Amino acid sequence: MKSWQDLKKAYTDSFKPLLADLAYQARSAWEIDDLVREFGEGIYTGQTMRVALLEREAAAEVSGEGAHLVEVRLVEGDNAAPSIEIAVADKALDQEVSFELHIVYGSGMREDLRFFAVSPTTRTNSKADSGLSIFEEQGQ
Amino acid sequence: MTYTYYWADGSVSNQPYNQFTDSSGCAIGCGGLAWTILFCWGDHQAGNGNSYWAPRWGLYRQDGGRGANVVAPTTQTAGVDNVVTEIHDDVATFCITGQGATFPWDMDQARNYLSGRTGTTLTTHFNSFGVGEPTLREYARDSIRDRGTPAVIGTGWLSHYPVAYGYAWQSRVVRKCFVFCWNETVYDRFFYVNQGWGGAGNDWVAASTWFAGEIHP
Repeated sequence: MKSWQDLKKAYTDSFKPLLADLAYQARSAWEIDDLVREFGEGIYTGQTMRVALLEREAAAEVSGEGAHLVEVRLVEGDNAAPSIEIAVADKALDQEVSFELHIVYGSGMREDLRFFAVSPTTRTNSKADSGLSIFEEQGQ
Repeated sequence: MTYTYYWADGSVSNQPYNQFTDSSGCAIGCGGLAWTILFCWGDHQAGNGNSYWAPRWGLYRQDGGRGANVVAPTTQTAGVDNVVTEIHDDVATFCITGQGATFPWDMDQARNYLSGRTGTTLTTHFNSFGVGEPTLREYARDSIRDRGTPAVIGTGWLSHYPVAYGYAWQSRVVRKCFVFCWNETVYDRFFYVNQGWGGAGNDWVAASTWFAGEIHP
């Protein structure tokens, strides 16, 4: 390689098999991450979930239609990385309800994470944006 | 969103063995090397206080032969090379474009190495077409989780046999939409492997395997 430009040109071809293998290994996890990014991650009512924090100093708040079902608290361990625990009220839901967790770090960095609360008994397709409403409106 | 981890006993870096070129100029093959890593792991455990493996001290003997008992080395000695070469012959590794390849249905012949050295037994399960199966993943997972024992797995499309030392999983509830939408519990599952690349490249890989090779004391 004579220059940085040459290295950049050759990089893709040289590492193509390795990059393809990494993409193959990560394919399933990436598909799930894409779904979480688009619709949020589900939490069953009555259960908790922890979100690891990127910095020790952070403040969190919740917004959205499901915010009234949710409590958050900062969890700090001696050795473990700090995290936010999200607790969803133990309540049967007819349809899933969305909420957002907003985290503001000491450095000024910000994270906005999407979630939805759902009960084990919540009917699939009961949400208005489920697409099944098309059939319901047509009486099918 | 929180992973659960299981680890085999000992450190993944205790068997940092690597392939080498055989007398015909071809790589010795990852199949025989994976068994070598696993057998030497068992011997190392037997010699270092693992009560489950303590009775199986003969897995590795002086210079990789059939003589006096010694604890398997944690570096790639000539003795380790002798073990790799013997198992390479047992499992009928053949040369293809400079690489040593081993059919999954031949991998069980590594039991010939065990014969006369130890009471350890091995079992193999595989998909001949190189398709990952949940049952095969569970064989390897159970070996790590329930017996603290690594397992040989198959990654890629019939392309590589690493040794899995760790297993991690988490479940998540996600929303999927195709015409209409539904909620589904999905799983992330990974094995932590010793690739058999001299200690390099040891990492988490997707836990989709077409091969599971286990040893039992």
